Amino acid sequence: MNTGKPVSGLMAQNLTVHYGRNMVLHDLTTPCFPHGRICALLGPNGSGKSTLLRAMSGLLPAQGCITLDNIQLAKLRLPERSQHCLYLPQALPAPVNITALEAMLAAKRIMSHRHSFADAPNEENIRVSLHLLEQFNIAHLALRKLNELSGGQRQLIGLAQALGRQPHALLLDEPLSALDLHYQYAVTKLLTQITRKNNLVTLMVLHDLNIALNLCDLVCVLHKGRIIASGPPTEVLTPDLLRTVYRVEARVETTPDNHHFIVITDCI
Amino acid sequence: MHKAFSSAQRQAQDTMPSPKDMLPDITVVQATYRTSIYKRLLVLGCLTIGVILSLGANFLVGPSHLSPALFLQTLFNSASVPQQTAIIVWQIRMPYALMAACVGGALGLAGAEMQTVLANPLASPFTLGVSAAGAFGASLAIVLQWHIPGVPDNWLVAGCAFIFSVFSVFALDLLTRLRQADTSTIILCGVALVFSFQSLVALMQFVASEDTLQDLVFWTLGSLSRATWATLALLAGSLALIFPFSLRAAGGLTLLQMGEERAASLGIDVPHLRRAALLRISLLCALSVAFVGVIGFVGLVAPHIARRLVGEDHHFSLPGSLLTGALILSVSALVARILVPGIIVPLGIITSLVGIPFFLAIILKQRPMV
Repeated sequence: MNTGKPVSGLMAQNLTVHYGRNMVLHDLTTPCFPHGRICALLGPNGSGKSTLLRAMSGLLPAQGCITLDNIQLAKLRLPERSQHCLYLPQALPAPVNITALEAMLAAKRIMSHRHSFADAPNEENIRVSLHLLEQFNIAHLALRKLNELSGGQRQLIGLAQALGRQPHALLLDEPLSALDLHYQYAVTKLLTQITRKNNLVTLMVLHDLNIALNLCDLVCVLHKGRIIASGPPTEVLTPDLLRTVYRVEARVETTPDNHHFIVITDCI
Repeated sequence: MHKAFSSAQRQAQDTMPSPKDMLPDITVVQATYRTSIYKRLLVLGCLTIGVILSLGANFLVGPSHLSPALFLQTLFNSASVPQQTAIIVWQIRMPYALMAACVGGALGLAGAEMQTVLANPLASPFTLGVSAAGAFGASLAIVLQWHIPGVPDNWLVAGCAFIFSVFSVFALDLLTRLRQADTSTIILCGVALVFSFQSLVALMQFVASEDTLQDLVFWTLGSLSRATWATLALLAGSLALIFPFSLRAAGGLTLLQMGEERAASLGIDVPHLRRAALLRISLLCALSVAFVGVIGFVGLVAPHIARRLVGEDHHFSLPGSLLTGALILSVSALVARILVPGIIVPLGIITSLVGIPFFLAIILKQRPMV
């Protein structure tokens, strides 16, 4: 995973995206999202967060220049591109009649170009998939069918599927949306760990500002299709910014043991 | 009060095994996974045997009873049996029975792919208007009594049905691409197609003369009795050609059913996958409709039954749908011939009657999904 040479990370320059005649992102240039750091993409509903991630992963036609470690992603074909930069959609994996393990294997196998009938259970793939499920603490669900699992459990499996593909950059669209409090923190911590260990670029859309404040290395705030602030969370998330972007009156407090939290006092 | 609550909570924690304790052993998981694959292969094997048995029954059972020995003798040495027996076996029973299995397989496979690429459990060649379009094409040729010198009339009818069926699938595809329609829009447009073509067929029936009306009604009910070795070869050949491509796409289709965006994000070229599948579907459906008329139900139900039996990994559910479709239609063909002695009831009538108990049994056996 570690390319060894000095790396620059993921960035988009002069990105423009239309939905029909409606321009969602206009000439947007992101800061460089570095390797080994977990970055949160924040912003209110409809600010263009998902659009940005989709455009960066090549799922939406976009004008502009998207580079990962100086590689022009637009020049790659979609399968290859997904090996570099993988997007995890917001929608949960559908509750279909296949087991969690099979879902993992299917996501892995699609890249191997061997579509043999009844692919012999590849021991190595099963081991890797199980190990990933174990990291998410859901190895006991490996042989359960997706249509028997809860939304949160499926979301974890979707995450494990994405990590199993070992991309260089991970773009996660609200990866915590269906998770309980424990898993919201556990998954963020696990993602941080994996990001550091494998030197990934991780960018995730978040709505929980407290998680962004305490667990993310960088935040980037989108508002009406433009990036209005980016940097370390404690510097970016100020009462002023919260007022303009989220239309709330809020204070940012710090506990004696150096945890930060946001207190919302009113909405405008 | 507060204390009681927290102690109850602690108790719950003590008794609940934490996920860590239930960590499955890797060898156990591997073994279970392997067993599940063998089980599915076994199911596919059983379906194949079922198809072979029903084919056998179709060969032997009929107004003039044949013994298995006589049948085999006819098969391998037709000179040594009475000419009438040879004609019954070679010209009537074998094309009829094999055509039933092939059409069933084609519709089952087409239905399975259709339900996945359109992400709708109600999608089938019948519900999206492919059959109705074929029926309209055929009705044009039958009622207007088109003739092209040098082309036999029944091939002309089949050709018209084929052209209209292909047209209807590509009209749907065009709609998806131009309007970037979501799957529910496609289904609704398919339903609109069904009704427009049905009323067009009704219009043709209205203006048809007595003779042609008979032909047309017979055609819209679906019938295997027009099966010949030539049409059979064409359909079986196409099925044999198309099926490997379906299997090649199975991995992509498996991921596609977990969500279109997820599949795309995992590196699958979804538009390409969908277009290729629609091309396969239109060929299979159009050929089936062209040669045997409108046969509903199989394309809708066979994939559901197959998924219940072998799961939704398309490496298994596609062959499963093909075999289930072949089995249903083969059994229906048998029932159609023995239900009223001496008369072959149109197949389209029988399929639903035979298929529905089968379908309900499997659907209701499973516990309801949450």
